[in-house]
Amino acid sequence: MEILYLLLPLSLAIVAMIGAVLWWAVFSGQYDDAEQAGLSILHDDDHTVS
Amino acid sequence: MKPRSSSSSQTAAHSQTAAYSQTAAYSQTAAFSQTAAHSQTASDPQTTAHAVGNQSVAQRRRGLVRLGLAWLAMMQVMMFALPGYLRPEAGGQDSLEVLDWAIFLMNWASLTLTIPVILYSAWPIWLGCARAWSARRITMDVPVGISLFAAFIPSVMATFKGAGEVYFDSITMFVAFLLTARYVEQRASLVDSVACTQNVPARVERPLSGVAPAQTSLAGLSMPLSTGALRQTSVPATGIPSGLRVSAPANMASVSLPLMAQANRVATLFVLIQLTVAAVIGAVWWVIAPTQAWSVLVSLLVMSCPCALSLAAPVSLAALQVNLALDAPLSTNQREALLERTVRITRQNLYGALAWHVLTMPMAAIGWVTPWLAALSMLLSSVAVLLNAWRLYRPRRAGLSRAVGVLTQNQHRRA
Repeated sequence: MEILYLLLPLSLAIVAMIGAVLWWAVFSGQYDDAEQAGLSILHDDDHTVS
Repeated sequence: MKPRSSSSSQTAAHSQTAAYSQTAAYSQTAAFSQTAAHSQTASDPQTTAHAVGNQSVAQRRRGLVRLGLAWLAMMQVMMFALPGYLRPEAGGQDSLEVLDWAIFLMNWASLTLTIPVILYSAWPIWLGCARAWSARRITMDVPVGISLFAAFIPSVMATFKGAGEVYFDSITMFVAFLLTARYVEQRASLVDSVACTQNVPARVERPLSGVAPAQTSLAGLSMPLSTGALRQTSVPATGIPSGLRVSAPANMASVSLPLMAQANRVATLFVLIQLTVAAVIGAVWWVIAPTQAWSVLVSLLVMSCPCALSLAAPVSLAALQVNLALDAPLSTNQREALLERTVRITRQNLYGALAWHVLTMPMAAIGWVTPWLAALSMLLSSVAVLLNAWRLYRPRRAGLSRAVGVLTQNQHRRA
């Protein structure tokens, strides 16, 4: 059971890592608009193609 | 769209980027900046609109991170709580010793994870408590803050002592569920407030027959599932699919304001009663069985959170807005029926949530409901309210696909 001394800090470190990645993902704007990407096919700019 | 001048295409480009950078629910500001750009007013309101937009985007992102962190911590803390769940069934003295050692370690790990939840994720709750305190008013944050406090402090003490119950799992669960309900509520009431208080000048140059321009301003309102696409089409007046134009009911405010007021009254009264009942029952338990008193008190306090109550009015009003904004102009009869349905569903939500609380409270009072179960029940009632409001919105969902269809045609025509 001494393995807990390794596993518990490891799990905390992983949680912290996931939290940091979530933080970065949200604040870099990835979750700002979840629909635009799917609709982007409707907005392609046809002007430039003459 | 041939006769568009270069300046108006610049406007379109500007509003397109606005549409891209704004999120769907924050379309209030996007719509505003579009309107400002369109009516070619001075750049001043435009910049303020941008400032407001940036602020609300940052707010939303922070809310999302708070929510995500709370859920993450909740899942991990629940795993750490497992030895604690097993302890009552532990066999011999030997295994009990090992288990207690494991519980001691796990409690420390849980505490490490709960501290950021309390300090960061629950920050809006503490702010709300401070506001309520300075205004000498009971709000929803008060019972939430009290229950978090009542659960957290004894848990920390138990962790340091290495003996006794900890409620870290309930705390993180409660915060995660509560923030989820709040997040939904904020998005819903935002959509709602756009519609109710919108005094943006009408963006439609050619009013529909029989509809005053002031009332068509709702057309710019987009919906929770709105897409930049819908907004974008409404930039050039000729590009607005007629299906998107809405005649706002003149009596919109007359429907929404009393409903909101009613919901607030019910929620405040409910919180007051719940707090009193929790205090009384907690005291009774303290006299009869002091070991369980704290758990009962915490679950009663968790249960006293009127999330579902506060969700009731905003979500159904938001659903009403979506209906009005999406669909083809409604006839008077249809509109009346829709408003009636909204009022009915809001009342159902309000009193259904109340009934749920009244039913579950005695169970918590007898000690059947553990704190984490109370948190779960809170979430379930909120979800039920959401689903009920969604009923209002579902029959007209077809409107969106029609709108997108019109949009694609428009794009072709423009090209």
